[in-house]
This record gives sequence, C-alpha cells and structure tokens, in this order.
Amino acid sequence: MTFSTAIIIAVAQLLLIPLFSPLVIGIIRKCKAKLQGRVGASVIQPYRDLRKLFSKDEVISSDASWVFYVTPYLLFAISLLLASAVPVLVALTFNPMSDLLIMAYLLGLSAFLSALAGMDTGSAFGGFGSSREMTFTALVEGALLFSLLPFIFIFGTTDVSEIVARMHILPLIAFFPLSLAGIAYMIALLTENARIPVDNPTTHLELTMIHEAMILEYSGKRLALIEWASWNKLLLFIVLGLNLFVPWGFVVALTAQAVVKGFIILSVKIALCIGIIALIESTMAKFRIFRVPEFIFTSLVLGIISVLIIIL
Amino acid sequence: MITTALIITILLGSLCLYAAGAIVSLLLLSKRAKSLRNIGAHAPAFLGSVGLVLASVLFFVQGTPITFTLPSTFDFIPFLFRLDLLSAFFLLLIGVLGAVASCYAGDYLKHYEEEYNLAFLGFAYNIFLASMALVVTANNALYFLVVWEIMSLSSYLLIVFEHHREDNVRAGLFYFIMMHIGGAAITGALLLLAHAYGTTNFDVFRAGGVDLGKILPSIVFILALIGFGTKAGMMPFHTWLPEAHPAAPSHVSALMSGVMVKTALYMLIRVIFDFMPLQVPWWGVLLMCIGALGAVLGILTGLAQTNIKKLLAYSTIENIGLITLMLGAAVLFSAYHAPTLAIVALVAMLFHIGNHAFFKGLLFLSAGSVVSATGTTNIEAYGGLAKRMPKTTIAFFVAALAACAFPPLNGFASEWLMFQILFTGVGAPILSIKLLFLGAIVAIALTSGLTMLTFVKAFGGTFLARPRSEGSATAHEAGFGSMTAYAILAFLVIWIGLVAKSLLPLLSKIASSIESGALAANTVQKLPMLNMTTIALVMFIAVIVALLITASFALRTKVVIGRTWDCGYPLAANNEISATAFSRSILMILKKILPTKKHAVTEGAQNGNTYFMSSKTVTLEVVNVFEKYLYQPIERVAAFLNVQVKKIQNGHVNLYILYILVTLILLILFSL
Amino acid sequence: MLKLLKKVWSTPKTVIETDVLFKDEHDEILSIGKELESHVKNIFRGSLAIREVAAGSSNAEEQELTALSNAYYDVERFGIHFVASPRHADMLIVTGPVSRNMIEGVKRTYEAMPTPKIVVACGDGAINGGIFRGSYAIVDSLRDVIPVDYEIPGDPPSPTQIIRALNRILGYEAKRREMNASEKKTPS
Repeated sequence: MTFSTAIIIAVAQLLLIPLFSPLVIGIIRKCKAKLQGRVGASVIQPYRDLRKLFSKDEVISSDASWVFYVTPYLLFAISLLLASAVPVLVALTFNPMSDLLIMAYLLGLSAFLSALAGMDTGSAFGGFGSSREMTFTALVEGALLFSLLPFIFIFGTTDVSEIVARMHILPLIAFFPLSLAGIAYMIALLTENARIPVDNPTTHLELTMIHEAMILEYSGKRLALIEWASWNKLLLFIVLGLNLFVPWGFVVALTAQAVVKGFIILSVKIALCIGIIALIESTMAKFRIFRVPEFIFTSLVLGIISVLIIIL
Repeated sequence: MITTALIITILLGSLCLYAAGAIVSLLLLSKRAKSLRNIGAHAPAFLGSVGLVLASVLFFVQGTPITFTLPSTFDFIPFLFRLDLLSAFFLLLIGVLGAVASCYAGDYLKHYEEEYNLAFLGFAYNIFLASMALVVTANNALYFLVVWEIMSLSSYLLIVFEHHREDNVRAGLFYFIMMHIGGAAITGALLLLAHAYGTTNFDVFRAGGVDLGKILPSIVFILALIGFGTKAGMMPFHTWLPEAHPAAPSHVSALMSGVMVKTALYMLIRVIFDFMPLQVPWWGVLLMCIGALGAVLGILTGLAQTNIKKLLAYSTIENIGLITLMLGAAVLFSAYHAPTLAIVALVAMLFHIGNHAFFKGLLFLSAGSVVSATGTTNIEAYGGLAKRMPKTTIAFFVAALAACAFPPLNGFASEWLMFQILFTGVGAPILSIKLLFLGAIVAIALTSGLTMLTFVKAFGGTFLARPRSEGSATAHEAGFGSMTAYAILAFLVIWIGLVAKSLLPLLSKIASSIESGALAANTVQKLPMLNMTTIALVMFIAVIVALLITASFALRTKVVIGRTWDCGYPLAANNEISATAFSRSILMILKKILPTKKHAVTEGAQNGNTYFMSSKTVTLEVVNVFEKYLYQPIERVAAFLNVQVKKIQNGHVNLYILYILVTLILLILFSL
Repeated sequence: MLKLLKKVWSTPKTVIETDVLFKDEHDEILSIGKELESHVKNIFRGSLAIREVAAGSSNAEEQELTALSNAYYDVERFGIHFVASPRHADMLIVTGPVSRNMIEGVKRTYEAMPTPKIVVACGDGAINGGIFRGSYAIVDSLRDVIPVDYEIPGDPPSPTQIIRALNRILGYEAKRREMNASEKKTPS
C-alpha cells in the first residue's frame, strides 16, 4: 500500500463518521419512539436539525470570552481527530493518531473544553453542568482505560490500529475475559456520551442535566457543531467497541469486495448495538446523581477483573 | 572546539554574577536607592541564569564529565565541583527558570516596592539561585551539606519576605523546622556513606569497590528518602509545601516548585544509583507506593483548595508523586537487572521533571500576575479575568492544558511514556510486581482524571464568567517583563511537546550515564515515542476543516451579543458556580479516600430560624490526614518529653550545684 | 412462570385501537400533519424547535401542549420538537396571562432567542388575559410585553386545534417570506 492510497483510505474512513453519525442518532430516536408506541421523527431528522441550525443566527452572551467562541470548533475538530484514530473499516498500521492513550486524552480534552465553555457565560446551569461533567469524566477516564487495558496487555501495544488488525488471531477463549471488559466499555460509553442512565439527552429539566446544561447557551452554527461533535463521539465509541469486542467480519484483506462486505457487516453490528442502546434507554430510568459513581465503579471493577484474568 | 575551560569559565562567571547581584542588593539597602533595587538584583540574576543555560548547553555538546576544585580556606571542606550529564540537565532547568523568573520579577515586584525592602529579597534571591546551582554541581559530601543548608536558609528568607503577614511567618517557620529534620536525615545518610568509604569525596562513592554490607545501604536509603523526600514534597513529608509555596512571592514559588524541589530528587537519584553499588527491590516498591499515594492524595487535596497558589502547590505534590513513581519503577527494574527498562523509566522521570518545571513555572507566574492584579489568592473572588488579562489567560490556559497532559503539549509526552512503562511493568514475571504496577496504573488514571477537574476549576473559576469581586473587576494586565516570561515558557511547553521524539536520545544519554552505563546505542533508538509533530499537524488540519465546514454551511448568519440566559432571572455574579461548589460532587464521592469537613456560617437568622437569613457562607475543607494522624501525635509526644525534661531544669541554683557535685563524684568514681 | 407467559400469549386483544375508534380525527391529524410537515420543511428546513414559556397560565394550555408530544398526536413525526433553551428555539409559545413577576422573564426569553424567530401567544389568557382579564396581578396581553406574531385562541385550545393553528401560522409565514424575498429582489 503506497502512502497516497493510505491517505485516501484514511480520509474516506474518517468521512464515514460525520456522515453517518446523525443517521445513527436518528435511528436511536426512531427506535425509542417505536418502543414508546409513537411513530417518531424521521431517521434523517438530525440532518435537518443540523441544516437548520447552520442557517440560523446566533445570540451569544456578553459575558462570554474567547473560550466560548472557539470551543465548538475545537470540539468538532477533536471528534474528527478521534475519527481519524479509530480504524472503522480498515486498519492502517502507520497511523500516527491511532493510539489508545491519545484517544483517551483527546476525550479528556473535549470534556475539559466543553466544561470551560459551560462555565464561561456565568450561568448557574452551565456551571453545575460543567462540575458534574468533569466529576464523571474524571472517574470514567479510568474505567474506560481499564476496559481497554486487556487489549494492551494481550498485544503489547497501545496502537489501536495494530490491535484491531490483529484481533482475528485471538482464540475464542480469550473473549471470555474480554466480554467482561466489554460490559465495562458499554458503561463507559453510556457515561461518556451522556446517555441514560447517566444523563437524559432529551431532558428539559435544567436541574437534572449534565451535558445539556453546558450547551444551553449555544445557538446557531456553534450549537450545530457541538451537537454534531457529540453524535460523532457516540458513533466512534460504538465502532471502536464493535471492532474490539465483536471483531468478526472486520476487513483483513484490502479488496473492494472485502471492504463492501465489511461495511455491510459493520452496519448490521451498529444497528444491533443501537437497538441495545435504545432498549436500555427505554427500559431504564436515569440514576440519581450520586448513584452514577457506583455505576462507573462497577465498570472499573469489571475492567480490573478482566485485566487480572488476562495477566495472571 | 568547545573547551572544558570555557564551560568552567561560564559556570564560574554565572556564580560570580549571582554573587554580584547579592552584593549589589546589600549596597542598595539604604532608602535612597529604592528605585534601583529591583534592577540591581534581577539584572545580574538574569545574566547569571542565562550563563547557566549556556554552560549546560555547551556541556551537552561536549559531553564528558568535568571535575575541578576551587581553593578552600577550610581543609575539611574542599570546594569540589563536578559537572556531568545529570547535573547539566538540572543546571539547564535552574538556568531557564531562573532567567524567566528574574525577567518576571522585575515587573511583578513593583507592587511590593512601597511596603517591603526589595534589597533583602534581591540578596536572598541571588543566593538562592547560586546555591541551587552549587547543589547540583557539588562533588563532596560536606561541601554539599553546606550549600544545601544555604539553599534552605535562603529559600526560608524568601518565604518570609512578606513578613507583615503572620501566615507567611508561620509558614516560613514550619518550612524551617521541616528542612532541619530533613537536613538531619541527609547529614546522617551522607556521613554514613562517608564513613563506609572513608572519604567525603563523591568520586570515591561513585567508584564503589567497598563492600557496604547488607543493612547499611538500606539505612542510607531510608535516611535519604526522609531527607530528600522532605525537600521534594513527597507524601507524607509534604506538609510544608502547600504552606510555603503560597507564602513566597510568585516568581519564587515558580522556582521552588519548578526546580528547588527537583534538586532533592537530583540528589536522591545520585544516592540511589550513583553512590550505591546495588539497588534493592523493596526500595522501588516503597518509592512507587509513596509516589502513587502522593499523586492521588495530592491532587485530591488540591481539588478542594480555593487558594490558587495552594491548589498549584498540591498539583506540584501530585507531579512529584508521578516522578517518584517513575523513580521507583526505575529502581525496581534496575534491582531486577533490567537496565533497558530502568533507563526508559529514568527517561520518563527526567522528562517529566523538565516538563513539570516549565508548565508549573508558567502556572505559578501567571497565577502570580492574577494575585497581584486582584490583591487576593482566593479563587472565589476572581472571575471574568479573561477579558481584563487576556495574555495571562492564554499563558495559564496553555500551562493548564500541559498540566492535564493533553496532546500535543509537553505534559502528554512524558505521561505517555510513563503509561508505557507501567504497561510494560505489568508484564513482569513476578505476581506481586504485576499487581503493584496495576495499582500504579489505577492511581495514575485516577490522577489524570482529577487533574483535569482541578484545572477546569482553577482556570474556569479564575478567568471565565463575570468578576465576583471589586478586585477582579478592576484588574489590569501585567507588564512587559511578565509577558516575556510567559512567552518563553509557553514556547517551551509547546515546543518540547512537538519535538519530544528528538529530545529522547539526549534524555536517554543522561539516564544511561546514571544507570550503570551498560547501555547499547540501540536502546536509544528503540525508545517508544509518538511522533508529536505529525499529531499536532493533524490536529491543526482538523481545526481548519471544522472552520471550513462551518463556513460553507453557515452562510449569511450573524452573531448578536445578548445577555446570559438563566431561565429569565436576573443574574448576579454570585449565581455563578463557586470554586467550592465545583469540586463538591467529586469530594462527596471520594470522601472515603479523603474525608472532608463542611463549615456553614449563617448570618442574620431571625429568632434562630435558619430558613430566613441574610447570608450563609459554606466552606468545604479536606481533613489533613497526615497532620491529624502523623504529625500531631509526634508533636504531642515531643511536647510530653519536653515537660518531663523541664522537671530536671527547674531554675534553682542550688539544684544545679547538686548536679555538678553528683557529676563530679560520678566522674571521680569512674576514673578510679 | 411458563403458565403466566402462556396466559399472556392466549389472552385475546380486546383493546380497540385509537385509530379505529377516532378514525376521522386521526385522519384529520394525519392530513394536517402532512401539510404541516411540508411547511416545516419549507421554512425551517424540516426542523422546528419550540420553546414554551408558561407566563402565569392555569396549566391548561401546558397540558394540551404536552399532549402534542404523546403517542397519539406525536408532532415529532412532522419535524417539530420542544427544546430546553430559547437559544435553541425557532418559535416561542407563551401561554397564560403574563403575570407581573413573569414580565421580565418573558422579555429575557424573547431576547435570548436567535433570529429568525416567531412568537405565538397560545390560549385566551395570553391573547387578552382570558378569564383573568383586569386582574391587578397581570398585564392583560402578551402584546404589551413582547411583539407577538400569531395568536392561537381557545381556553385552552385542544391539541388538534393547536396543530391546525400551527399549520396555518406556518402557511402565512411561508407566504410572508415569499413576499419579502420578492420585495428584496425588486427594490422599488
């Protein structure tokens, strides 16, 4: 594979995430509506929301500083960076971005920036939203790391492309401890992406908000960028999780046929994963805020057990 | 051709400049020279520090250790100097931070001019810088102890500089006492070594060849750990640090946090790796435990602070914890005969020492500007400074990002390396070591999460939203000297992050000079490191893409400036989240690890009905576990012993005569 | 447990589905909805975000507005949703006579919305004070507080009426925008 083809593949792969992330959100909403007995909005509604927001004017608080202005761009850029780090269909072995630690710290950076933006306007809601977001981020970073540690110890590298590329050599028995880590990862996914039972993405009650409280002040194109970035993040988490914990069907040989097949298999897997998320969101209530740490510690403990099984 | 003589000349020249600065300061003590004091003290200090940088850079080019002696008036304290890679590395840090701090001080100290005599400060400051340079170049145990004490004394003078404030004097006294306890332990460690080797010359220590036995090295290690750990701020000997750092003027805090505590680590590395023939595994285990404990508890305590300089001081304890963790890993690897891994751990440690010096220096300097602009150290009284002090804001922002280890800044590079080592350590064949490293990973992961929280609180509370006090509403940007200092440090923080990969060979050269030199050149090549320049480039492109996407979608939209939306209520500055409230949730969640105490003061309650009141002040503070369970018991025992001793000495002259008589009789009896 | 499952399985479906019971109304909602959806697509690119402010109403209008999101009316399928912040909204619906305490709040909400925005007074209370008219505690009409674009009468208007009214409002809005656009093209 020459350098230029690799770049083309990388960019094409990267574009898949922002292109399809609104669709994924649309499908989750549709599934939830169906489970509630409603018809629900069309699956392409998120695209429409984005287009409308991009065409609207903005109202920005006079108290806001440059942090508030630049954060949406940076958040979107970080979501693109994460997209370039995760092997979606094909694993590129010399991708400088694809390192699990870089990804973990980029996720931290996006939480850091959005928390600052939440505080910037001096709104009471933004402030406590930031506080809660950072509280859970501080805890879930460790849980996320530990759900991914088994892979680092199995393959002896933090390069996620290399790990995904070599997943097919694992024997089936290795997936027993990995399934524990998978549950830990799922909990981290729900926490990082502010989904039920940690946070309710559709809530209107300011006092129960976590992620939403920080973006109450945003409007127009900046709101669109933030929303889009958070959708990208969700899809990325799903794709990474699927490629690590359910690696069957990942493209190993780089032919057009294999890529198409891989794409179809990945889509089916994503659809199933979305179904599970929608089911969780429809059947569970949001946790009381001080019960969330228990949820995260569950994830951490599962991660540690899985790591212990692997290294002992 | 760089000659040894040139390097020696520059080094001695720098020391002379410091001496000149000190003498000039003393000459300017009189009232008439008020306006000259500032420049008189800091210009020589600046030049001297630049000289140190120059000397160490030249030394890195030249590479072979230099030893030289200065004539001494005391026979038993020969002024032996030795400049090798490790000391040059620390000399470089001292030089860079010294130059930056001097640059900053010229600007920052202006508001002290009226109240205090800057000549005293200038004197102590120059002596302090010179003594740090001497500590890392000393090559004789007694001489080292002398300059070490000079460093402690001069830093004490700097801490109590603002002597009109009682807190500062107390903090200084506390520091003084702790340094004496530490100093005693260090003296013990070095004298034991000197006794075993039969000389005080470090060259002999280094050469080894003497059988130290089994117990002596461990005793020396424990003493050194107590002594240097006290100076470095390792838990549980850290208690002086959060008191002393906030008390000192900010440029001194930057120096103390950035380099002074590191000189202790320098000597600890020396003692463990250079002066001891062999390392023992449990040293490494102990160091790693201390490090992990310090990192987690340090940042957790820092999280609860509302004094910005205290918060930064606790963050220093956290970073010292991480560095100690790496030192422990290096000792452990070395003890189990894995020199390559030990070198990687040492590289990570040295790298983090340097990185921490720069970003913490920048944090302390920018925090110092904030403190002098607002007249308070309380984060609750800040807010809205991003608009009033834009450059300081950016400086603090960059440093905070580096402290949280976000790519592509320098903090990330060293933290990445640390993680790699811990991951490797888990692969060790011994079960207990595996678990130790796994525990360290838990600690470091929790630490990095909590660091983010701490710096969101520090940055957000200080610079964002609306001003919460008169002081922050009328704050002004700092002057040119401060800006220069910010620019240099911010450049270093970013640049070191970008070129991290190409700095590693130099660092591994330094590391291998300490750890038994048996390093093949290929280890240097094999050091894992990300290509941070590419990462930064990709990040830059991503931001451009985000801008382009927005520009292409959002045509003809405009931005209107309005009021903050807060559900239709009129907002006041006290509606913002306070620093205490910000960290409350996490402290509640982690109160099993670190207990907290809440104080609520209600004012204006009518008839004892607390529902109707004019104001309520809530403060949340963490219980100082070490003080409660370690220091206070020791203090009580000491006080008890004092009372007992007092009974002997009750002030009656006839009793004393009796003592003399008894002693005489006893002596006569013995001599018979 | 198997017994229970068997029973669940064998129980005949006796509940009559709403779209059979209220077939006419259901069809009406669907047909209006389709029109509404095309208007939303036309004006708001398929996404209309509504912020609701209760400015002192008796909660009657809120009940009806809440009903819009339930499984029966389900306006979300037409591209309409309610949002948590006026910053995110395209349309402001105010209900109830504006009580004096809420004047400032309503004003601030209006100011907080980014343009283009539409203000709708929903229910008689918001239009002219309704049954509370003349009370010392209220300003009779929302129009005295902020510029109102459209009004939905009724005390309270039923969800169907609201959907119908929204459809008409957007129809007018579409025409108005067309006229504005053509005016801009041919400056007189």
